[in-house]
Amino acid sequence: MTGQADKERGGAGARKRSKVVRWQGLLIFVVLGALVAGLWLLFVDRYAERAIESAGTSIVGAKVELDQADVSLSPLGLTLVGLKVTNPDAPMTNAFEAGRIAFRMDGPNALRRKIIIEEMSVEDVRLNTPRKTSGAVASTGKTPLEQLAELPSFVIPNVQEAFEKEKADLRSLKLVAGAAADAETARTRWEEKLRELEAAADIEKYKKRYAEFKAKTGKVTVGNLIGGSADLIALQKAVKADIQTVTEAKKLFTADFSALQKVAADAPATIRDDTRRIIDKYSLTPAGLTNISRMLFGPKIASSVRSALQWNERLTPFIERVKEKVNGKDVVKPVRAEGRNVRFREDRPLPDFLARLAKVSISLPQGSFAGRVENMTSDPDILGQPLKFAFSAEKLKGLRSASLEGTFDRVDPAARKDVLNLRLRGYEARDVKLVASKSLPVDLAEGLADLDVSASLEKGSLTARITAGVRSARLLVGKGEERQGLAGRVDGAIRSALAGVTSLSLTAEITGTTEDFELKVRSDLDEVLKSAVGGLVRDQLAGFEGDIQKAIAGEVDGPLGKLGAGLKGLEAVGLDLDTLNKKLADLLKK
Amino acid sequence: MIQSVIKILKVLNSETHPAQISLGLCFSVIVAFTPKFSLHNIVIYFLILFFRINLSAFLLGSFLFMGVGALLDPLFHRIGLALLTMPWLERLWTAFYNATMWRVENFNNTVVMGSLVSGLVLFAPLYFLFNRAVLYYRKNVYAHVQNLKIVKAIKANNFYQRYQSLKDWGGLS
Repeated sequence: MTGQADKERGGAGARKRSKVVRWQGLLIFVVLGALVAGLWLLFVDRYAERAIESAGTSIVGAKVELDQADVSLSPLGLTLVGLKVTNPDAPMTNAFEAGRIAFRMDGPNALRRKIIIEEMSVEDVRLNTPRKTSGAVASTGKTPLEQLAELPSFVIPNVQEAFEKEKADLRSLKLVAGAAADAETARTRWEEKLRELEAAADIEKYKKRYAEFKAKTGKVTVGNLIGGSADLIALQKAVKADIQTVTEAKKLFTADFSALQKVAADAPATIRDDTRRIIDKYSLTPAGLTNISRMLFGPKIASSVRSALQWNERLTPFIERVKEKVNGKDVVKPVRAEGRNVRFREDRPLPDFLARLAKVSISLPQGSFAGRVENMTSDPDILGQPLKFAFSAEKLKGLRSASLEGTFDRVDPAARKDVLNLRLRGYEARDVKLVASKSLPVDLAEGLADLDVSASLEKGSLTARITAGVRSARLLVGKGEERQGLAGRVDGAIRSALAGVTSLSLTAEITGTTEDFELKVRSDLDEVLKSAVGGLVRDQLAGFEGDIQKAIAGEVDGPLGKLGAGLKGLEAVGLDLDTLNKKLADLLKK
Repeated sequence: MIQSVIKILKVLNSETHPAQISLGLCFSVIVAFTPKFSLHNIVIYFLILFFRINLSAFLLGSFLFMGVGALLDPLFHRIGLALLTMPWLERLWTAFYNATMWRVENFNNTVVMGSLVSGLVLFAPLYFLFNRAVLYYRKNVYAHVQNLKIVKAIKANNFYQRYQSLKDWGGLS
């Protein structure tokens, strides 16, 4: 009985066992799901840390490191500790270091792959901190302001140095070398043309035809006269047509020849122009010694501008994502995924990343700066508002006040406009190296400096103005490498003049494009130095000018010779054209 | 490697129905082609476990097709881009784009879209192809394989015997 019941139960159980579904699989799915979720929770911090380091490194182009990342699920947020971004141009320096970055994210939007942050706090930011690698620490030991104030080497270049630097840009050399090559090409072309013309206007053939005509008309008959005059007219027409062709060819030839001749004739003048340009650039001109400021401050300012432009370009991926258009749709490259993301119209458009407000505190040796950055987003076109930032500080150590503000307006990518304004007041400069020259090192031992920088970059066009003033200044002119002759005397005069300077002001104006900008620098040091070394400079200039001109003429000499040879060859072709024309004209006289 | 050989033998030689093996392989193609933790793959993991689909075939297929999927990514990108930028599908994609579930799925990524659509399109043809291949193997190749020295050696291995003893545990064949 019992056995029978068991059999029946077993049979019922077998019938119940589905052939399609396995219920225990559901349990396993839940267990596996829980396991994956547990593992995710366990490793999400580490994963976030690695993801930020890897994405940051690929964007910046230099190592980005993070000490710790802490992801919280409720409320959804992220805290980053010890973020270090290496300066790609100086791998031993961190361009940016943040002690702590914390923010909360909007959960539902995060599910839609949108990072929306209402408020972010960025604390303990430090700039230009040294990095430790293999136990070696490379530190310049300079604050950013000191680096900005550092000036280029002040050396009056010798002829050879100036010439070598400018050789590639010599207009005279380019013109003459170009004309020499053109003359050679023109000679070959015109010789070919002459052969063609001579073949077409076959003088012997014309003479033969004329002789035949004369023989025919020897007997005076009506038929001979009529037929002969028709032949004569045809012959005359052919000869006149050839004369016309040759005359037009000669006109073109003359135009070519004259243009090349003009280059050769103008060569001395272009050499003089090049000489003047180099002198203006390198020497202290007697007309007010206006170039001293450019010589002193120009290279450093230009290098600072280039560095700022590079950082502007590096920041671009963060503040303006590159979008392609495919069939009218915006297509963007995701930061950490394959393929591209295609964007569609949203009911409530939001950028993929947006931090509406970031409160930032920056620690500098002078003290702490506080500031705010608004509308940080990779999609400003969607947000419709530009990124704005403003930092300020007062009563810092050795600095009365400082403020930095600006905007990155990329709302309309075609009309992008970035604006930056920096204002420093009462900077107590001490031991700032102004001129790092071997022969004439100049330090600002002490002084009270004010600095204003205003710059704008609009549609690739750069405009900037830098004004700096130093009062209560004490300049220290070091005893550098002794130079002989005039250079030594100029050094001496400059040393004495600078030792008496107690205040100085400088204005730099930058205009142009990001790739090619012009820099104009004015300083009251010009006047000081003009009176100090004007006489010496006038003497120096005479020699410098002569030597530079000789060097340029020497360089241009070879191509000028080639141009002369080419012109002689062309001249011969011109004579041949004239001869051909004359021969054709003589035919008509017969 | 040995484990893979054991698995393939186990899968193909088991008494599992060819349709269950084929389904496992077909689902593995989608999982291998598309990002592992996509929303649709979570659904596939559920289907694999909940329905009587051959798990070994699925795992083995996922492993084998993973490399193929990576190689085909550029093709998936092009397919996905073409689909996502088709003007007559724009309304559909826009509706998806505004729905949270589809954003979680990341459907608007060209590689996700291209690989998913490719996997789905290949699903039915591959199902019939795998079915026929399993039947052919069992009828014509199985006996020869059993006589191979390497197979005999593997079957004599302790590990294989333990694996055999686990057969039919909880119906997860």
